[in-house]
Amino acid sequence: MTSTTFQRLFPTFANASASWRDVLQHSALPGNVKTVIQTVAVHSRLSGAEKRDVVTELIAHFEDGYEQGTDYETLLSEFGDPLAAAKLIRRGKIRNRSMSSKILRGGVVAGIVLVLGYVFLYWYFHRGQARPSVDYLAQLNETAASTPESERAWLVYRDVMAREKYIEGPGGRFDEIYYRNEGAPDDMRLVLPTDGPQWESAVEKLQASQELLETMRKGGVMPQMGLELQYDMFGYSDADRLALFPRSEDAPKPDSPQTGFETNPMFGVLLPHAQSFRNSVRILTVDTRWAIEQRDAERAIRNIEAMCGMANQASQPKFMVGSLIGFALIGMACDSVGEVVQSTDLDLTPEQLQRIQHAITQFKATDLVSLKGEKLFFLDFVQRTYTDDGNGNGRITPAGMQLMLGSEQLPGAESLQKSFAEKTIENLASPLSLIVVASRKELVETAERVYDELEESMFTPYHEDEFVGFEEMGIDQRKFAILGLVFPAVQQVRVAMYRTLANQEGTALAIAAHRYRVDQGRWPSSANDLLGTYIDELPIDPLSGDPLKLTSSEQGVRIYADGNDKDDDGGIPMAVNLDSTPHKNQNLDWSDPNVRPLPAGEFNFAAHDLDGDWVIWPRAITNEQVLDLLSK
Amino acid sequence: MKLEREMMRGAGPTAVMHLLNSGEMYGYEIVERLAKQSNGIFQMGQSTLYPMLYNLEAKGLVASTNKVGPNGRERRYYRLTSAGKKRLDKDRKQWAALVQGMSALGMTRDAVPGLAMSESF
Repeated sequence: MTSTTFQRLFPTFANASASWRDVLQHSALPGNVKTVIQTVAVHSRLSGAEKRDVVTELIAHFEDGYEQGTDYETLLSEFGDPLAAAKLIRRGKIRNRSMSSKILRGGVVAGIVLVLGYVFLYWYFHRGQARPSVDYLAQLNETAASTPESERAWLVYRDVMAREKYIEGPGGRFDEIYYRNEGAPDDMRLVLPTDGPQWESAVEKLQASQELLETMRKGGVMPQMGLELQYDMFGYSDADRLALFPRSEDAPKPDSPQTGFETNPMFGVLLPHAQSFRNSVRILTVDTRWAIEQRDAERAIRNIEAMCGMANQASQPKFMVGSLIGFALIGMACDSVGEVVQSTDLDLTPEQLQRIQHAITQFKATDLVSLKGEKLFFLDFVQRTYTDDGNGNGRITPAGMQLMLGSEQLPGAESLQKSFAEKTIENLASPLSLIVVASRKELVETAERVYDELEESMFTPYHEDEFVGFEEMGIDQRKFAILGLVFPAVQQVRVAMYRTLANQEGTALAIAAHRYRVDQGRWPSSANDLLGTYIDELPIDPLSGDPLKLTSSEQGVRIYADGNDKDDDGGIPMAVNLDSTPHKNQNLDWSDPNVRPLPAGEFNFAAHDLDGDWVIWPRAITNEQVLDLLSK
Repeated sequence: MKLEREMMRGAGPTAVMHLLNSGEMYGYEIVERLAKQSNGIFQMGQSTLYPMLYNLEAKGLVASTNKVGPNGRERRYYRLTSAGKKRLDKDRKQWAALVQGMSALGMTRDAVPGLAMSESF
């Protein structure tokens, strides 16, 4: 028989109509011979058509032998071992297969292996489940938990806060402290003694809130916050919850709240106390203005001490969000220091000035930052998106993959809307992530390295500009995409940290100058005059790495950094319009009411091409002061 | 005395090709003629012959065709291809050189006339 191409490629189909068993059964050979031939065919494990060829040939062989006078018994004894024959025949036949047949068969086998492999991968991937085993929030709460109750500021604040229904911001419980310009609703700030009736109602409110204010002053100077964070609102005791979430009073409490770490991710943890500190410091700011008006220096200083302490407490436990709030509070405290120290109504003693100087630098911005919280947050995230083999390794779970692909998002973020087709493709392709995405061990090891490098990088002096971010670390963005998903905005915090540090140290330098004046009867001619007795070291301009500049006149001292343009403008600040847009200073009309000096707390490191300096002292510099400087 | 398997592995295919050089033959015919013409030295069973034929076919040295024989039954006939003929030529020279070398060494003086091929080959 001459084989056609089709028969060669698809011998099984081509010969399906006549199987080798039929051929053998219809032969006239005796049973024992048929059995031997069948044994050979079966054990050859060839295709049906190939077996048919072999069987046909062996039948012919036995029939030929018998026809030529040899009996079947002799022919069988000459045949040899059927199993050995099957093995050799198989080898010979396989070698005999055409190249196209071999390729096709190889392709089919490879395809089957691939499909089976994928099915296994799909099954393996989709049975992956995270089993959180570590309560990282408890680790984060360790300091608070080990603080004796008598040293916990939270327990001082709590009851009064719950009673006052302490809700942050305008429209809340202390709406009176916000000044509103009826003609311009967006022009809103804290009320000033010059605001007439609005000031009167703010004072009235403060007068009625003496217990709360005193509680803030007492609690604010305690170094430990002592609040143990919970996964969810109802994880707190009722007393804690009503103080932290005043609006939750009317919220229905679930029958069985799930408060354990097994079911609650750490990214659902809120920092309610940090938010309420902002409102506290605003109230204290307005009360400090009132204290100045009443010439009550002691109260004003206690308010400043409480504000600085709250900045420290807001950053406990160490989370970057808390650190950022802490920086903001220090900035507000610096502004209040400006109002108190520059006030002509308060005749501050050297001891009082020293207390303020100590308060403003007691908790430096650099002490309020650590990546500890973020790191624990990340480890918690990993234990909820990876399986755990018990030896520190595991693979990404379907839920983790969905987070990575954006089908699911962290709480607060909006999930991407995807079509059914997109979701199906994602579902089918997800198992391949086991090949592409880093294993748990790789991820955690890389994260450890990244967090260590970031921590080191964060505290590199800003002017050295050697910050290394996630992208510069040479990390495979595809393999470690999940790391990028929760990567902290370290550079943003670093900028805020150095700005706050210069702000508070520059403010402390100004207080030192005031102390010098009280002692010496004149202003220091340079910052060096203050070294040793009034300050330990010269504060640094983070942008240049040089000491902050101090100039003095009969009116007082001026402390500033060269600013973004790194050019000394003699302490003339950058200008902003009423909409807070920074302006170039050239040919600027400072008598224009729409132009005002940039407050120290609003200085932006990124505005590179703007003229003017970053003026830290005097605080709340006026247009008149700028015009006075320009006239010189 | 049985011929060692390794020796027969080299000699068997050449013997089969030599036989097919005289014309196409079917399996049993090859077994019979090999045994007869070699005085029983190349007496091989089917379990040896057919794998050997398939190997030769895979190498392109022999080709096979199914045909209906004189007795009316279908058989597979094997013939030597042109590649097979070239290979046979080469093998012949090798065997001649081998025999010559062995003779020169005096190896063929005590040759056993009835040496039969091992079934285990």
